[in-house]
Amino acid sequence: MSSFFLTFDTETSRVISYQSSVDSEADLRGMIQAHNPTWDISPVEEDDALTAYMIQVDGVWQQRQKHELIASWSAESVAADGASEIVLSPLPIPCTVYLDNDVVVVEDGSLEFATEAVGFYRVMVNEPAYLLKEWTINAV
Amino acid sequence: MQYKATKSDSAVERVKAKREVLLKKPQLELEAWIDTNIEDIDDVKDYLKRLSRVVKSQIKFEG
Repeated sequence: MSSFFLTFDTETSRVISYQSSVDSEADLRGMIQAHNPTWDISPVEEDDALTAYMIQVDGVWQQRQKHELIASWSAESVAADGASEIVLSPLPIPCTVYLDNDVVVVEDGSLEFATEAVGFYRVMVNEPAYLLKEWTINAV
Repeated sequence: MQYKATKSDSAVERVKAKREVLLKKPQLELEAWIDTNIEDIDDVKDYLKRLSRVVKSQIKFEG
């Protein structure tokens, strides 16, 4: 009888993978931590595995389900004049936003985007507690 | 937080070339536009700049 387990990094709380295993939880944990001492595992239902995340509460790791990010853009296109702005909010605090090849940590829950360069910009938020969300912004 | 995005000059020129509304027109329509709108040397210069941007976006030059 196999069971499903999440593997996660206790330093970042990121889920690294999920897999089925016939080994006991203790045996599997031992094998994984032999190679990666900061990793841990958590039993999970197969259907929940893709949308699970780990959070430490009072020193104990708890498994929870990601929820939808409610942040949205004030508009999906912006004039590429360097002054016009569109806003992505409300973001979790803090929140890492990936913009093309750039990584920005937003600490105030709101990203005001401007540019002088026309083109499409790919924007992504992939916070542990939220489902991954992507947008394409058009600067015209 | 304010964020000002950038792209390389070549990426911007490629996007501008792809979004060139004039050169997207069918050839006969484009020729009619030229007959109607190209009146002086400044019009020619402007048209050549638009044309060269599109051409350059299609060619990978050597050297």
